Amino acid sequence: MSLFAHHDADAGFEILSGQAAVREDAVDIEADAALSLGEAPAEAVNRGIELRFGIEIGLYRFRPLLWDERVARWNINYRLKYHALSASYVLFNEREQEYETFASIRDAMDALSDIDVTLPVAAPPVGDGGYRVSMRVVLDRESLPSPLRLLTRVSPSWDLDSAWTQWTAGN
Amino acid sequence: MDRRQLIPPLAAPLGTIALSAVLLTTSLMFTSAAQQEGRFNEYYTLLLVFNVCGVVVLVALIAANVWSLARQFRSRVLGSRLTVRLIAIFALLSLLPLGVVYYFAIQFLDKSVDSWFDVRIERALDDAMLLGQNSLEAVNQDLIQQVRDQAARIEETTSELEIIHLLDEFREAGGYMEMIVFGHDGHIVASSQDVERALIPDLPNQDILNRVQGGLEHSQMESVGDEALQLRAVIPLRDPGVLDARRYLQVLYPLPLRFSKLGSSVQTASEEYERLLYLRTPLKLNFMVTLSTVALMTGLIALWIAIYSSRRMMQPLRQLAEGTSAVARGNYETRLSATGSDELGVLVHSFNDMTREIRNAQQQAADSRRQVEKQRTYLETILAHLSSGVLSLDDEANLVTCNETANRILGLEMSAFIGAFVGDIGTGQPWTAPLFESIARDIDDKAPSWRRELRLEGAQGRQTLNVRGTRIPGRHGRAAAGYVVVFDDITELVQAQRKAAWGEVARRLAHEIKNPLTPIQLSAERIRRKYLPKLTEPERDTLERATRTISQQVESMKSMVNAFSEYAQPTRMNPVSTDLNHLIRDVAELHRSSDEPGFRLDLEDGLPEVVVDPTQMRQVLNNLIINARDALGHGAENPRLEIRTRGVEVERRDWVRVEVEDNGPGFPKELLDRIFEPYVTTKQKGTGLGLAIIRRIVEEHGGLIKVHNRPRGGATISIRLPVTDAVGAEPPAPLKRVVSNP
Repeated sequence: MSLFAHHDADAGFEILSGQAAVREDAVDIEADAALSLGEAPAEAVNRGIELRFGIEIGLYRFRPLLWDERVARWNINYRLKYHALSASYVLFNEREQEYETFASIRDAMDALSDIDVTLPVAAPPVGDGGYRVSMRVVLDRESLPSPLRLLTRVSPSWDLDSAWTQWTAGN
Repeated sequence: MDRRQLIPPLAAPLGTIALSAVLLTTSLMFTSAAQQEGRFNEYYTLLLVFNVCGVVVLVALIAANVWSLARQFRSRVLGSRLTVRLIAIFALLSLLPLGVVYYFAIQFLDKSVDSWFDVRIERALDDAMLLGQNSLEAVNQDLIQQVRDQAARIEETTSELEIIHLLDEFREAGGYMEMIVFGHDGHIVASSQDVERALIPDLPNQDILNRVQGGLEHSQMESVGDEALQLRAVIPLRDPGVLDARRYLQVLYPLPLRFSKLGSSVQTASEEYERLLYLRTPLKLNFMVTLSTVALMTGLIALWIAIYSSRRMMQPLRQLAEGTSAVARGNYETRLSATGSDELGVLVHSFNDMTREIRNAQQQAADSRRQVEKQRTYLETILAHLSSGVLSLDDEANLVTCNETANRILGLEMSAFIGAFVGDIGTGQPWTAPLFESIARDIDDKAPSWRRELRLEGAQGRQTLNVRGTRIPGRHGRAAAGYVVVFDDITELVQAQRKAAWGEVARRLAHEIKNPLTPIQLSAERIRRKYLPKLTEPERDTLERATRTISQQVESMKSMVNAFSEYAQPTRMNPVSTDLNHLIRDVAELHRSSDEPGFRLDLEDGLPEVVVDPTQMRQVLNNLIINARDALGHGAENPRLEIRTRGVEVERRDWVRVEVEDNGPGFPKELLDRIFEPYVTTKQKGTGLGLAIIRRIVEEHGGLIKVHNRPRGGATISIRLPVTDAVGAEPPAPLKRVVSNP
């Protein structure tokens, strides 16, 4: 059973690049990620397990001599599940309440990898210090069925979360 | 202060109960969280971590307790073995059922989970899913064919307005939700929507665009919401007609609601079953981990409580054991801390009462011992300074104590006979036998008290002892608790009394007898002178004989009275250092004659000189030689008289012994005891004062005189005189006794 399959070296989430622009009342973020589920999570999806992903984004303002001030924080959640009747994969954007259907997991994850969002923020105009954006993509293991939680806590195949990646936001 | 004393007594058990309750609660919460729809589902990981921490804490507690117990066991601490036994029993009683339940629960769990799944259901669901997919595929094929036909119509059309009309016509005819003709870059050329269901055109995503731009057709069922399904068909338009090249037609066809619900139902059932199949192994694993964690937690708690309870239960017993051991070692100050009001508490209280009572009794006993010791010391001091010898005997007449005076009187170290039967003490010391045998007899007679006057003949001469004995009344039915014997050496007293008596006799003789003698003698002379001339010749002879006899007898009586006065009155001595051998030779020379071949001198060379009055000592020797010659004159065959001198050491003192021995008839046995007393004589014509005077002289020189008959006839008189180093010194003080031995 692939629940205990060896860890796929290519599996995992990674933020490759990103850019952000802070406007008066919003921030535009574009990022390119490499998201690969690996064998065990992919089989879980194929066997009817719904996976939840979270894109965690933080906006920070630089401050001299002090730690950066967090201006805003967003979680953009997605759900991926297999639709057996249509033999397709459905990606649901909770924020936009939109369904997208894909022929393969790879297509779904590729669609998820192309991050392009505009997020409202009550940030003042760019000051003297500027802003930075931190982002990571995680698999929400706590939302998995409870029998899987123990396994996903100890198996590296399920440890897909990306590291925090940050970059300076432009205007 | 003991660290345990700082902890309130209920803190430890309450802490144990609280910790056990918390751990058991978290175990139950963990069990609930492990279930698919449990109340604490979202805290599963947290509870798992908490339970693991609980297990670690319990293992640490148990390990610490076991380690401590093992050390106590190795050190053979009192109570540790019983504690181990109790823990083993408790652990067995709790862990064995737990293990059995755990084993069967695991088995039951494994079989129960497997029983959820049925191959027929799985096949039925697969078939239903396949049927649904085929149905959808049929619908899909119909739709795509229909869309192709409609696309052909649109391709023949040259007017954009006509295209729009065609789209409206086709949409209404086919029941589509939306029909769109869009360009290569995604801009909409013409569209027709069901405004009740969609206002904004739903363009295909990039993946679909990529497919159709590659010349392929796209047709796919899509999920819209929880149950709704729609078919999206996109095909490229081949003949542009009036239209630009690379245009595409998209049709969105919502499946009928009934069809969608049926499909969704099949989808949901199949999905659920597939998910269960997938989760079967993790579910078993999860249940087993949960069950194992709870069982482990419960077992560890039971073990810990077993250890804690056993040690707590054994604590008062261990205290009691240690206390008893301390009491056995003589520590009666031991007090145990109170442990409550149960039976063990009562036992601890009783132990404390017992040690307190023992301590008090010991204190009283020590006080009594001190008092007794004090009394004993006081008594010993008194006894030591008594002039009487004191012996104490137990109820079986064994010697218990004696004082120093007893040693001195008897010339024995009486302490060597402590514990010996009194009648046996005289066995090795014959001269004391009369005393101890007498005591034994008196005790045997069971008299409550007795008094005796005994004479002992020992190295120190004759002793006269006044012996009193008393029986100490016994208790508890015993006849006697012991005996006390007190004796005094009354030899000097007896002799002094005797001397005083003889002195009084001498004084009376001088006064009552000597005084009338002179008038008697004068009267006899006067009678002779007055009547002699007047008498006839025969009468004259008679008177002459009578008056002469009276005068002679009076003279004789005077001599006797003078001699006795001489004996009774103390003489003046002139002692000088004297060579006794020389003195003996001088005296012997006076008595030696040709008709006495048996006269022999055996004088030791180098005899030390003694300090004596030579005149008196000469008198002594003269008297002894005369007495011996008188005895030899009674017809002895081969008469022999021998004078011997020897230097001897008696009682760590140097003496010169002079013995005058003859082989005459000896002294009559009945007179041996009194031979040195005045007027005790064997001669027909003696005053009876010779030996008495000899004894007095010897005694005044600090010497001893003894007499005994020889076994083969004759007698020996032995004189012992002390040797004094200083020339011209006074002779030693007279010994207290002058002894005559048989």
